[in-house]
Amino acid sequence: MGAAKPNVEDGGERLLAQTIKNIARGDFGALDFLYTIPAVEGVAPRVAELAESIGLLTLKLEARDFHLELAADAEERLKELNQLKDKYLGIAAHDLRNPLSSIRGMSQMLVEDALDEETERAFLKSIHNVSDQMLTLVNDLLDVSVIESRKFSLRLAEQNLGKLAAERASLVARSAETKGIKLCSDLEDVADSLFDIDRMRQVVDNLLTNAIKFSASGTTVHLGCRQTAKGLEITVSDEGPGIPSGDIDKLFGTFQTLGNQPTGGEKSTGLGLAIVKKIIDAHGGEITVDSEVGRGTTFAVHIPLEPAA
Amino acid sequence: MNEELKPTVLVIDDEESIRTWLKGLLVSLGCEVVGEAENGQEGVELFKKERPDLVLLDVRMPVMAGGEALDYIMLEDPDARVVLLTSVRDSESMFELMTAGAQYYLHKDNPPDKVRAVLQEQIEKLKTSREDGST
Repeated sequence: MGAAKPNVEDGGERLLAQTIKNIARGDFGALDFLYTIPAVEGVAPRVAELAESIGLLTLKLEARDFHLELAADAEERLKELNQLKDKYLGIAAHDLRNPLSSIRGMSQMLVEDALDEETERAFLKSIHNVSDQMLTLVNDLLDVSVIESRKFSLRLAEQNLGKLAAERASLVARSAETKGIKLCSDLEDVADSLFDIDRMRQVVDNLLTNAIKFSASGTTVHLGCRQTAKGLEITVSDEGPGIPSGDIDKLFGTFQTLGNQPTGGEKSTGLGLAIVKKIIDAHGGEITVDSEVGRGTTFAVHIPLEPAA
Repeated sequence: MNEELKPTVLVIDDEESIRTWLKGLLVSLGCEVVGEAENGQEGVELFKKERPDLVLLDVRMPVMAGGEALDYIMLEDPDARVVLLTSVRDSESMFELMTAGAQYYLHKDNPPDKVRAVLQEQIEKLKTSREDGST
């Protein structure tokens, strides 16, 4: 929007009026013309000053608007985090309170009552198992909280994912054997790559223990690791019950425990896969599920050789 | 106490340690635990099969929650004796469930002595109503 052409016959008054109108609209282009008209020459510097102040004020307002927007976004985010925190607290409280009640009950009876050996053993075993369960839940909750708070950052180092997979496989081999499950590894030689070893260890452990958890005796769990065009892939397959297609979307949600029951009575916090997904996302990778009810499930994790910035 | 007269109990709760604890407690109170279930569906099936004198039913469970299981049990036997297992914070849902036919409720997270006292009371009531021949 340019300034009006100067109409010198009017003695510049009209130009002045026009200029002021333009400045009000944020267009300072007409200022220069003012200096060319003797009648309003004296006023020109004052008008220029005014224009400058208005310009500065506008800038300040724009900056303030921008900050207000940022603040509104931050508030949204805080509200979200608060709600999440409340949700986790609620679930944690419930999932921890129950076992605690039973630990109190059982331990009191162990101390005060004359119990037969069978009951005594059952109580002690239960207290032991449930303590493990509670510890896992607390650790998972802390993990999720760190990851959600975006303070989560990866500690990257150059290392070998294939070696990590082999190591984790040999560690879970025993619990697989106990359940009568065969663990088969097919690990290709892969190049070293940049990843967070603690977090990827968590990922591999979670996928392996899940596969074993939901597998029945006599079945096989397959662990694979190979190099792809763009990075590295780890696959974990089981011959378990499979996941109904309707449930697959919910798989990576927090506190999701779906219909399938662990075959050995193990407990699920419902947080494992959510944490796994966040770790993979942070590496710039991808996790996919291929499953069919009655056939089994395959989880495939793909991470680039180097996480994107 | 006469073996035949031991009250039979079914424990339905998704938490294994709770079941272990309550089973031990019930036995020490002179009951016979005829079954345990970890979700409402299993619980209802066991109820139909065993027809226990008393049912301890957790209100918060996956795969058929306590409320639904309670309805099924009441349908199967309107005179069934059900004590709801809950935590202190669950108070809002309790009123509805009590009107649906449960006899009483038990806060699992009360001090163990209180839990024992409540169960003992319910068992006494059971025995009394049995003696009256009104079950």
